[in-house]
Amino acid sequence: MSFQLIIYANLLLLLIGIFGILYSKDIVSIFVSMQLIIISGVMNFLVFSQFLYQRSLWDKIFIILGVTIIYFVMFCLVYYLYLNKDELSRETLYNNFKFFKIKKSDWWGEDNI
Amino acid sequence: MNFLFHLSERVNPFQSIIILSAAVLISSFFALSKSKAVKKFLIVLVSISLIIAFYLNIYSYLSMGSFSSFLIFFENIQMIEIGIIIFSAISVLYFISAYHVDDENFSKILIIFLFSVICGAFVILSKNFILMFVSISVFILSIFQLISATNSGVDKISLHVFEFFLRPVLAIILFFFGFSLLYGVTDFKDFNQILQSEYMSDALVILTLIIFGIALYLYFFLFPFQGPYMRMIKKGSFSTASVIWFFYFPVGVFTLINTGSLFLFFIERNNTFLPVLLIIITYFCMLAANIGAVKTGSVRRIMSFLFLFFMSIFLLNISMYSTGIIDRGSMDLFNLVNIFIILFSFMPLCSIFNNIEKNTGADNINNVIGLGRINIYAGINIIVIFLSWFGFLYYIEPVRAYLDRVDFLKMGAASSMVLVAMVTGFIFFSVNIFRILGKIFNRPSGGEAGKVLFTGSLYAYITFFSVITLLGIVTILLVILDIDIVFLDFKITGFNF
Amino acid sequence: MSYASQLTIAVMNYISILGLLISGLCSILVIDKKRKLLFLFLVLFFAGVLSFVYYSGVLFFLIGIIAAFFFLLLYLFVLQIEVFGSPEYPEITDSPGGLIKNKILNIIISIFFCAAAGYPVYRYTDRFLKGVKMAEESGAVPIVGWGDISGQLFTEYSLLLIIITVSLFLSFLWAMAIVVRKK
Repeated sequence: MSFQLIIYANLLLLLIGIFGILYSKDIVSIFVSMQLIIISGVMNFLVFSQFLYQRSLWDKIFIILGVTIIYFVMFCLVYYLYLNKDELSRETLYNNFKFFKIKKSDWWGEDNI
Repeated sequence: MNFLFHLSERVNPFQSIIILSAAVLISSFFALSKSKAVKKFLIVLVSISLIIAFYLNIYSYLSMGSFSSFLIFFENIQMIEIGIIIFSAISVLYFISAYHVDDENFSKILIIFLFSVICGAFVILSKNFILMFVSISVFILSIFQLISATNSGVDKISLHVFEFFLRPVLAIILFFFGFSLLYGVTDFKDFNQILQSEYMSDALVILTLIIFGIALYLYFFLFPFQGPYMRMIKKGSFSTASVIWFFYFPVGVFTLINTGSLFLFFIERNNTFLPVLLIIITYFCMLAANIGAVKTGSVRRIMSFLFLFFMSIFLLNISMYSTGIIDRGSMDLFNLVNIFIILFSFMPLCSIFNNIEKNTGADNINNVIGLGRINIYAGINIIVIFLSWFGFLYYIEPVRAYLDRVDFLKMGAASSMVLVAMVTGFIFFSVNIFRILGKIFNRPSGGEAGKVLFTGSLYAYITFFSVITLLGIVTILLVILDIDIVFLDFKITGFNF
Repeated sequence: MSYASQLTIAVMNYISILGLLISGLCSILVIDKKRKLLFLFLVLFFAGVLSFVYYSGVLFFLIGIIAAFFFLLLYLFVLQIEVFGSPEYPEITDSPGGLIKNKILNIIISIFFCAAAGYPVYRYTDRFLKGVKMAEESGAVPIVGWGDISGQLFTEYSLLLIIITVSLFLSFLWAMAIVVRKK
C-alpha cells in the first residue's frame, strides 16, 4: 500500500469537503461536507498510526473521544433545527442557505431583521 | 480544618471546579422546579459557589504553587485566566438573573450556565491535546445550549443562533483535522513538547498552524465573517450579548494566548510574509469595525462592531511585536490590559444600554440623547467608563521609545504600516467614542431618555465598575508620575505581573 | 502474512479510497437531498471498510453507532421537510440567464478558493512526504483491541469521560428547556 497515495487521497477528501462548504446552498450539503472533513481527519490518524507508529493507542482514543463529541455537537444542532417551527427559516436553511454569505448590512448601515 | 486542607491538597488544582460541580449537582435536584423561592435559592447558591471558586482558585495557587500533570497545567497565567472567567461568570449571572428569572426554564438555564463555566476552566487548564479538544468542543456545545435556552422565547431567532454556531463547529472540525496532521509529525501530546523539539520546523506543523489559524479566525468572527455574530447579537435576548462577549470570546482569547507561542515561533524567526499578513488583517478589521459602528444607529450593532475592534487590538499587539516595536513581555501585558479594558467597560455599558432599550422599547442611539443631563449620576459613571477606552494612550510610550531607537526615515515598511494602522484605527475609534458621548450629553429631545429608569441594583453594578476604573486610572497616573504610596504595607504601584 | 492476504488488503484499500472519493464528490454535487444522504451513507461505509484495512476495526463499531444516530436524525429532518414542508421554490433572478450565470460563478469561486487552499496543503504535504521516516515493519500485524483502548481510556482519560457524560445529562435538560417552550 502506498503511503503517499493514501495521504494525497485524504487531502483530496479534505478539499472536497471545503469545496462542499463553499459551494452548497442548503444545510444538508453543509453537514455532508463537514462529515467529509471529519472522515479525512480520522483516516489521517489511522494511516499515520499504521505506517509511522506501529500499535499506537493514542490516536484511537483521540478518534473515539473527538468524533463522539463532534457528532454530539452536530446532533444537538440538527435537533435544534428539527424542533424549529418557523417555516420561513426552515425553508431558508433547506433551500437557500450559504455558509459564507456576505451582506451589505453586515458591514454598513442598518439590518432590518 | 486540617481535613479540609488535606482534601484541598489531594484535589489541587481542581478546587474551584469541584465547588462549581457541587453547585451543579445540588441545582440539578431543582431542575424541574418553577417556584420563585427555588429560583432565588439557586441564584444565591450559584453566586456563592462562584465567589468561593474565585477565592479557591487564587488560594490554591498561592498555597500550593504551580501544578503540572499529563493532562493539565496550572501556573500563574492559568490562575489569572480562570479568575477572569469566574469574574465574568458572576457578571453574566447578573444578566441572566435580571432578564430570565421569570422564565419557566430558569433553573435549567442556571445549570447549563454553571457547566459552561466549568468547561471554560478546563479549556484554560488543558495541556494534553485530547483534553484541549474535548474541553473546547464541550464548551462550544454548552454555550450553544445556553444561548438557545435563553432565546427560546424570542421570535425568529433560531436561524441566527444556528448560523452563528455553525462557525465554531466548523472551527472544531478543522482543529480535529489539524491535530491529525500534528500526529503525523510526532506523537507528542502537548504544544510545549513540540515547541522545544526539533519538529517545530516540520512542514506539517506549519500546515497545522495555518489550519488552526483559520479555525481561530472563524471562531472570532473577524471580518469578513462577522455576519452571523452581528445578526445574533442584534436579534437575541438581552443576556445573549453578555454570554458571547464575556464568555465565548474571552475563552477563545485565552486559548490563543496559551497556544500563541507556536505562532510566535515563526514570527521570531524573522519571517517577512507573516507580519505583513497580520498587519493587513489588523488594519482591515480595525477600519471595518469603526466605520461599521459610525454608519449604524442601532446601539447593539455599534457595541458589536466596537467589540470586534477590541478583538483586532490583540492582532495589533502581535503585529507590533512582529515588527519589533514592542517586546514579548510588553505584548503579553498589553493583551492582558486589553482583556481588562474589554470586561470592565463592556459589562457596565451592556447593562446600561440593555436597560435603555428595555425602557424605551427600541434599539436606537437616538434614545440616549440627553440621558447624561437627565440622570447626572449615570452620566458621570458613563464618562468614567469611557475614560478607560482612552487607556490606549499607553501605546504612546513604547512607540516613542521605538522612534527614539530607530531613525524615522530608515524605518521598515512593515513598521510604518503598523504605525499607520494604529493611528488611523484609534482616530476612527475616538470618533465613535465622541459620537456616543455627544448623544448622551446633548440636549434632551423627544423625551425618550426621560423614560429610562435605573434600578438600585443597576446603579450598584455600574458604580462598582466605575470605582474599579477610577482606581485603575489613579494607579496608572501614579506609575507615570513615579509616585509610590504605601497602604498597609502594600505598595500600590509595586504590583508586577 | 501471506502474499494473497496482503494483496486482498491492498485491493480493498484502493477500492475503498476510490469509493470514498467518488461517493464524497457525488454527495456534494447531487441536488436531491435523499440521494445526498445515500451517498453520505456510502462514504461512511467505505470509511468503515478502511478502518478494517488499517487494523482498527473496533473503531467502526464504536464510531459507527454514533455516526448512525446522527445520520438517522439528518434523514428524519430531510423527510420532515419533504413530506410536511412546501416544495422547493425556484430562485428569483432578473433574467433567465441569471440563474445559470450565478451557478457558474458559484462553482468558479468555490473552485478558486479550494485551489488557493489546496496549493499550500499540497506544497507542505509534499515537503513532509519527502522527509518522512516510516516505522520498521515487524513480522507481526499489530491489531488494537477494545481491551487495550479501554484500559488506557479508563485509567488516563477518565476525566474526559466524566465531562462528556455530564454534558450528555445536561443536554437532556436543554432538550426539555427548548421543547417545553415550543408547545
